[in-house]
Amino acid sequence: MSGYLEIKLNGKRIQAQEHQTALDVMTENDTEVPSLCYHPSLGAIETCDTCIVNVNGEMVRSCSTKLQDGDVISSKSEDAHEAQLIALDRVLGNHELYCTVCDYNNGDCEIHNAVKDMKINHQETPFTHKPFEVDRNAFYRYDPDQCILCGRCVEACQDVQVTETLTIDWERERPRVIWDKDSPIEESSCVNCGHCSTVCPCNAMMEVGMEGEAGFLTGIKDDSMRPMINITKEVETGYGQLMTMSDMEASMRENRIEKTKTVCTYCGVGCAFDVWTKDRQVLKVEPQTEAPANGISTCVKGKFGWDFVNSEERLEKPLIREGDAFREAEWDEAYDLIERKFNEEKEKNGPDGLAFITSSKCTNEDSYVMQKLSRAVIGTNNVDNCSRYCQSPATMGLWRTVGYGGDSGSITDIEKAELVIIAGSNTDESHPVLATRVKRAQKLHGQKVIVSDLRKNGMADRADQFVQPAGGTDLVWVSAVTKYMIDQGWHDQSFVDEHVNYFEEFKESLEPYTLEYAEKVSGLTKEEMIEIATSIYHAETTCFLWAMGITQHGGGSDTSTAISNLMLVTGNYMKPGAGTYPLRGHNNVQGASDFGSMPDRFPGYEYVTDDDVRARYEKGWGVELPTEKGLNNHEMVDAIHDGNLNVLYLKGEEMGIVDSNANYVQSALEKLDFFVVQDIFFSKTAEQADVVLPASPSFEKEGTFVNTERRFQRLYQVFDPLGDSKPDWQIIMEIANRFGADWNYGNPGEIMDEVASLCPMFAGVSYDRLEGYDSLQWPVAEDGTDTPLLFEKEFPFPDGKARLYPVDWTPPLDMGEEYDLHVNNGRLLEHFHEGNLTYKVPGITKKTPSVFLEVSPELAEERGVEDGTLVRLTSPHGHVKVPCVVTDRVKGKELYLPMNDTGEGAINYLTSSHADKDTDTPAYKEVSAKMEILEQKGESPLPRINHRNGNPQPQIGVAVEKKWARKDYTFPGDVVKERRSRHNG
Amino acid sequence: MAKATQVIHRMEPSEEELRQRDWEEIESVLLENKEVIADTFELMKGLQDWEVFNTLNALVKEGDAVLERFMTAIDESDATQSLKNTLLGFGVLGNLNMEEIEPLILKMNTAISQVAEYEHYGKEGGGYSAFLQSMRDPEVIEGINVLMAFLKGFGANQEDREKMESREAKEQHKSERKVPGTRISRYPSSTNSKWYLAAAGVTLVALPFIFKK
Repeated sequence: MSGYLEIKLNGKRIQAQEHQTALDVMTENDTEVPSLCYHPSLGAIETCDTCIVNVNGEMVRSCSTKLQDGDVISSKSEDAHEAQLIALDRVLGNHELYCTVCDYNNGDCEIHNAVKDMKINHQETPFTHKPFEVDRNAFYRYDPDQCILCGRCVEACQDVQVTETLTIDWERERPRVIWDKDSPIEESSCVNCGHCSTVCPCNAMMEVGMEGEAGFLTGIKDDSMRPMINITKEVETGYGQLMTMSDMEASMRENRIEKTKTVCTYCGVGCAFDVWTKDRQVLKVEPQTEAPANGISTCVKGKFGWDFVNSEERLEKPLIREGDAFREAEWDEAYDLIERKFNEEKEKNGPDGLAFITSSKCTNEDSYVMQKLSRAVIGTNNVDNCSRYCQSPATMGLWRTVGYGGDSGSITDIEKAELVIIAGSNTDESHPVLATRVKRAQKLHGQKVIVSDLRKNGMADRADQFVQPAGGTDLVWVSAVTKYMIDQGWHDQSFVDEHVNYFEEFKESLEPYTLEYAEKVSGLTKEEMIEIATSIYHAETTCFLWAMGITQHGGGSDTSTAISNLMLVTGNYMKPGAGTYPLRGHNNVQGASDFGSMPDRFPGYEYVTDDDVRARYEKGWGVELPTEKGLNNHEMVDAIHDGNLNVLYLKGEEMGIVDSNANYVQSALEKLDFFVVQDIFFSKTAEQADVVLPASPSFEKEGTFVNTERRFQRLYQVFDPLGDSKPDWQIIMEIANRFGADWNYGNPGEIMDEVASLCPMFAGVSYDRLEGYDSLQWPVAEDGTDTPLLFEKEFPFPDGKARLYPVDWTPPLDMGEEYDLHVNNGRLLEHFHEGNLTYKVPGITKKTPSVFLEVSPELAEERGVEDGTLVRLTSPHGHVKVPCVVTDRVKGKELYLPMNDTGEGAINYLTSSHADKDTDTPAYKEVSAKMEILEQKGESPLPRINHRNGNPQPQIGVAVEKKWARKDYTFPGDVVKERRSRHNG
Repeated sequence: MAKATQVIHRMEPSEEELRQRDWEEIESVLLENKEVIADTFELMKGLQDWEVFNTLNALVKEGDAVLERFMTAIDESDATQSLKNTLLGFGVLGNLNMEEIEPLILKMNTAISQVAEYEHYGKEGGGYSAFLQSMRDPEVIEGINVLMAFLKGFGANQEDREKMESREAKEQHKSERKVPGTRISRYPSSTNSKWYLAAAGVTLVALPFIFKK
């Protein structure tokens, strides 16, 4: 049979697949050998030698031995067993066994388990201390004495996360893991993604949240701990008893350590992991190999950014405004007031005098009940969510061309693409885990990466080609590349003929986009554009990734459309490893819109104006529904100013700061007759509310999110809601019932069942099918069949064909010559948005205490700016005050102001109300300002310990060859052979 | 028309309200666990009579200091050896095969009875004839056979099963084994060493003869 190999394993004939290793086959066939350096997500590292087996009579490392047809594996031969014992014994020389008082003794310590499985009773190689101290920062620690030098952490850092901070210094007498060129952890380039502590097989690299907390005896002070370890070692009469005792202790821990699966809320990648908790204390976040979007990966926020959940600043009671102050109140009183005020407005101005804004951070179920409250209970389509601020243009571009507003495939498709083009996306910082997949594919598998950005971001640093177009001109160069490829005959005519409409009209529309024109407008050279076209032409598969750098412009929808057009004409749809990938910013940007929190669409993007669809919902909800589309976020603000909107119910959104033209928005909120804000914190926006309702964050509720891959994932409740706070869906249900809605959802699963019964796109979604780490990518058929590859046979248009959609360039906003500097803006890796959550994480705040303005070296020299100089930026709409960092990440008159501030540094005091012409998404990226120096000298806002000041050391993996080349190293198989030959000789 | 404000007046329940709330919680817990509480109080009364609470209170309050002293003391004293011996003792008991040992114990008991009944007086200097006479006694012959079997078992290598030898000592042995002549090997790797065992057994049996001379 092709693709299969016939092999023998311990005398038994079995089939193996090509490319499988001996270890793979043994694992599949329940034949266990120790394998301490091997991790399924990392592959063979070959440092520990414990997996030695006999293949065709030769002792080899099973983790790296690819099988051939007819191979004979013996894992139980005497010599292989002896070699395994020698290898394990060497490991024990590097790791002190004090399991019972070890925080890692939770049943999953791989050294403990190997010693137990191999029935080791004593070790021949004595454990000796290494001459290095324990090193730690706020997030994790490294204990050299416990480190077995397996190199998993290094492999993960170098080749999975690709931050390239960790190496093992094999040249030392006692090798150890080092950071950069042997810096302390705190001063290194480490981004604290947590990969190292996740993959460590023991307690060497461990989350500090676990230290002294996980075990019953591990909290003992060091003064007592060392004698206790000595005693344990002295009295132990063999490891059997030690293993038994520690296993008993590990079992006891099950009683007090909860492990709950949740989904991260810091970006659209959708990382899922187990959270280990003891009472309300988070011990650690433990990603799992089976997590569909992230596997073992996390970023610093997902791994370590959860202190906010137990913050003392959490709202625990409803607040009611009385004059110029709030007072705490009980829920009933708050509900009474809301009921009265909503009714008053309805009677006075009708239901359209009210509006509802839901959150892209909340669950699908939260969003669904919010739009149902708006439509079915109050009777208005004035409902929207904050994806309006970011990704609506991308969705529009895809609706126009391919019919569905979602990523064409999965993150694994991006991983396997031959070419990845990233435009207007700071992927490395905004979608860190997704970025690791691109970086790894490029580093190890030859994937080509092209980056187009104003700023030399992390991905640009690594790109094969990096281009810097003028701000807001991406449509021009993308269209020019498209035209050039068609002119060269490099497009995919057969794909176009079979699957795409309107090719000729589109081709005609491209006439103005010559390379010369594009060069003039975008600043990209003809050669650069031809190089991009050539790369696309030569690549079998191309994925195009984009984000806010594309969408947050006056022509954001059009540029998104142009990107999709390019992918269509080059045939980069309908196949794995290709397609368009608008990277969703928040954890549930996709889901908030998917579930109908839009003024013109029901769940599943069906129009509210479609009579058949509306009739279905009217029947399902038992009410008559409004027939006209409502107001979006942007229109709501205008309507408030115009006096047409008087009551607003906003949840989970810092609208006063994150909406553009903050001064204009805040003055609108001031004009409201009645303003309800539902949040976990007393946010800047809440300061303007009449009623503030305390909600529960993701750790305190159940529900689902949809990530950037259109993937549904379940989150389970980690903690009880803090104080009197409640999950959003429950609050909304209780409010709805004040208006006679009579909703009786017992849990969010029942809400999902209702959605599935009404919305064809999610017909097969149910909590049963999303158990644990199971997931579904929409559309989901009633039988549960999901759609990892969005377009397989056809596009969702009546004739099954995609549509090329001609677009014109919209020049970016010109604020006048006076405002001579362009202020680019976006995210930082370690902070989330305005910072309401991440500034409450002391470890993060210590390394990145405040927002800062990036200034180019050229501009700094011209204006006399240096690190720490305090400047004021002024635009026609407001001003900010912020300290500077001089860096070549930006060039010329480009500035970069991260969005992570709610005070004087908040970017949206500069932005305007100018918006994408098709979706009203604010053109955040089209802002110019003038700069004045307030204080020349000051402390750098970027502390020395920030990872940006580190010094990474790239290499492939752990460089095990250096270990093998050491004089004191002999392959255990050779040791056994030598013994045998001595014995026989 | 609401101006932004950061002023929040917290709802501070009065002391009396908090107390009342706590009491209600306690009351319901007490009522739910009536019987358990009655039993617990009885047990606690007994513990109090024995000064257990005072002792434990002192121990807990000074926990870190006590633990450190205790651990350091144990670590630095022979107590670890006692603990180790105890643990080993358990291990040894587990290794004993009582079915096989029973006949040996019965024989030992009989032998001890014989010794108890034996009177030295008047038998000193009995000479070889008395000894040879004893050697004709079938029980003596059987006794020597049993003793020889015991010696055989005694000579078998058990090093792999030993738990008492420290790791360092093992290392020492291992390194010494590599240098011939520094130490007699404990490994019966060749048949050459078996005659030592036989010789040792014979010597042991011969001891009475020598001393008698």
